Amino acid sequence: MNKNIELKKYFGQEEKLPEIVREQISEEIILYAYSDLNNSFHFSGSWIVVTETRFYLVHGKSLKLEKDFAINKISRVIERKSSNGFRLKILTADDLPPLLEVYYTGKQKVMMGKIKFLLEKKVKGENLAFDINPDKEYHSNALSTIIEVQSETSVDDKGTLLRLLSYLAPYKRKLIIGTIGAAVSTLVSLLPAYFSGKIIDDLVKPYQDGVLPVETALKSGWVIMAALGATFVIREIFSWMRLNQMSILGEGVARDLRVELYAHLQSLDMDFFSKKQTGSIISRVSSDTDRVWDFIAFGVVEVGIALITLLSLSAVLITMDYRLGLIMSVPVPLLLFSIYKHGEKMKSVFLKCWRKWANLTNVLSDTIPGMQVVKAFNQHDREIKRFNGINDVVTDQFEEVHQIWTRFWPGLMLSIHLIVLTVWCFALPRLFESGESQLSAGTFVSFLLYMTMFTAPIEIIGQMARMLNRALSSAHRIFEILDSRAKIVNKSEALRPSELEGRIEFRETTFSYDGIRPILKGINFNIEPGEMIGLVGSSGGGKSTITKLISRFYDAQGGSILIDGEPIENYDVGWLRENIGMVLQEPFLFHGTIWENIAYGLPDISKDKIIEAARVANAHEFIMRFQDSYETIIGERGHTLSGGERQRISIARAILHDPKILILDEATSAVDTETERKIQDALDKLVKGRTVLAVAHRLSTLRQADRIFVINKGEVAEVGPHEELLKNEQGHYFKLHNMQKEMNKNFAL
Amino acid sequence: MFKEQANGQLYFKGKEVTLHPCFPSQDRMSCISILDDDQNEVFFLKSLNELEVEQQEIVVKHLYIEELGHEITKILEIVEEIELRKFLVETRSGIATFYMRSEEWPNKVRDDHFQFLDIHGDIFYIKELLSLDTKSQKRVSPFIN
Repeated sequence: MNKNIELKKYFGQEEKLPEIVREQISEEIILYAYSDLNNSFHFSGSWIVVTETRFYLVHGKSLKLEKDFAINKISRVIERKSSNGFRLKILTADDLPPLLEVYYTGKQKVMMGKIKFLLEKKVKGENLAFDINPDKEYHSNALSTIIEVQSETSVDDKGTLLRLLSYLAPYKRKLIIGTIGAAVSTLVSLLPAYFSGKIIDDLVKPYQDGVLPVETALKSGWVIMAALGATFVIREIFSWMRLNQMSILGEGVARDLRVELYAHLQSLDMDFFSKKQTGSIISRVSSDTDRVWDFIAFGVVEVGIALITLLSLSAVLITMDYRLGLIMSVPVPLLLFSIYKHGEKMKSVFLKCWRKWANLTNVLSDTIPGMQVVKAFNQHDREIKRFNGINDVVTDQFEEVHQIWTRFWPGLMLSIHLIVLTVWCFALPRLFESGESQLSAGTFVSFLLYMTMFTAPIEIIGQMARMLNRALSSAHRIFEILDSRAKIVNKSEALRPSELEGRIEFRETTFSYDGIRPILKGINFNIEPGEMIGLVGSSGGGKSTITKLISRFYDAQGGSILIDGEPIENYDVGWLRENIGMVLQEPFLFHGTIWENIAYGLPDISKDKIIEAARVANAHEFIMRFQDSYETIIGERGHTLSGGERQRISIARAILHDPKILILDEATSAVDTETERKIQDALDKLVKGRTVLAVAHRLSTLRQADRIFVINKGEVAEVGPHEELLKNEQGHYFKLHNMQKEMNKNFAL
Repeated sequence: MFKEQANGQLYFKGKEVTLHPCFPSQDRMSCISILDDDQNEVFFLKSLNELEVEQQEIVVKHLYIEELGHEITKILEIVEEIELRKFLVETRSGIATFYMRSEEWPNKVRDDHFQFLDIHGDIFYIKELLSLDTKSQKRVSPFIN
């Protein structure tokens, strides 16, 4: 976790338990939390501290102990929620007033939940299964939602910007050419106005005064025209250099970011993916990199050009005529400020538009996927009315946007015209004067032309803040992923044996997803190569967690897992997963042909083997009914196939990979009886000669299992073959079996 | 049936309970679920008229205690942060800071009553927009109007 994220900044609370509180507590602190409400649900502060034997309440301001009592007095801990916050009631007996009540907002809920869990453990006379660092727990849990929503690296804008710009390093040449292109095209843009002035002062006026013969004037005029033409050509050549180099460069940076992001995503653990929303990850690879491209390709340079233009224009104008130059330059900051203010106002109005537009898209995302329900309930008219109502609100809001900007820009232009008029007012008398203060017509024309160049850069600079904010926001989101580190990595000399036998051993294995609440509580078992094990038990008991630990999607926090007698951590993760096949309840198929899906990960496999695997999986028959057979394109996630068909393709995929360890996680639970029979038949062929762990709720699907493990609340409650387990009439398995038998009987009736 | 203990807690038939209106924003005074410590429904009060006057007063008092969240009386600052919108507000319960996701908006409950659900699930609300001072109204306007 990034240490820069400060609790104080976000919630105004301390980064950790103050020293003065620690000094008052003699025992080692196991956990502590902050309670930010008082018993009237008013914002306040106090600390809750738990040690091995005692529980303390410390006043948030005076930091003095208010209450402390022995944990063995506690009989029960209850958390209650109300609209104003949460209340943790610590009871000594149900019929007595609580020992203590602690009030807090949702910010403290995760940490208070852990305190509750710890106290409940202690009430039962148990201890936590893991060593925990109370400071780290407090800090990371309080900030967990902010980190989830925002990013771990979101605090230092300057650092993020520099880091983003460091991606330009491989493109130095392009960057230099692009910058030269930008600088030259900007400076060259100043020349036409200068030439125009020159033509008037050096040719037109001397000719009209009779000083310059027409031939000479025309000759010189053509030369200046040629120079003017050359200027335009040069300016466009350098503009092309800038646009070409910078847009390619921006694309290159976006590509590099996408490559790095995607490769990094592949290296991250399942833990990362379980905590992030898929849409959020996808948008970082797609739209966020696109925004960065936009910023690098155009934003940086546009702003640079605007600044160069404004500075050089001011310099040129002041050099040409400092009095008129100052009249023109001095109001520029005021104009910039008015654009900035307008931008702020537009931001606020656009926010309203965005909100109302979101309402409109919500109606669409509600009704289009649910069109069947709309039609079934004959609600077209109601939905049309609802959409039209919101559409009108959106239109009205955008009308407000148009009202504001259409008022502002003519107003701004009027201000610029007023400045021009002021320049005219000061210039006009001087045009007719003689002597030092006389202003030449050519200088004045140049001036007028230069003045028209002032508006665009002012507008670009006014929009700089918005552009920068958008790019930084995207960069933060991208770097958050790049800064995430996989916990499961290969050791330096990871093992890749030529063959895996398939022996699995769990020794006192403990595991918890959140580091506090154990899912597996020191379980022990041995599975011999070729054995088929059924895992049964209630939901949340830890069955699927066992399979995830064997596939090393997570590492156990306590005890060990051995594969063929070797700790699982010693194997190469990729090799291990190659030797483990999985058939899940919801098989995942990719967009592509059927054969590509069966041969996933084995691009060189022969067609015969693909067909053979499909036959064994009872899939060949239905595949051949499709017009394009194995070349049939199955849509995204295989949506064009039925659940049973998808499952049989995933079985064929597993057969082709020929894994030594096979995990079947509720493989037949989502299909009808006839399809289940076909899948079961395919599975029966698949399990032969492999170590199999089959998670199932329907005990009938485990008829081939050599042994059944009943997993209950993180422990192996019973082990044995089906018949043996049924002999224990007090056992979980017996009850489970009878319940299912009853259900089937009722169903049959 | 309902009793208020000296510690201010509400009891129903000797058990500590809390009141959970089915329609907390639209109609708090009817269809109230009475839940015990284990969140089991011990009684369902369809209408306050089912109770004696004295009992009604106790229930109404507790319905107000279990309000709709923290009532905002002043908006001190709204800051756009990355992916978040920070609200610094004055409430009847004191000064508070809360955060909403940038793409989430306050919920208009009725007329000018708005509810803000922060990222941690805490509820803040504006009872009557027009009762706020002009600056507060101006600050919050882009998010609710």
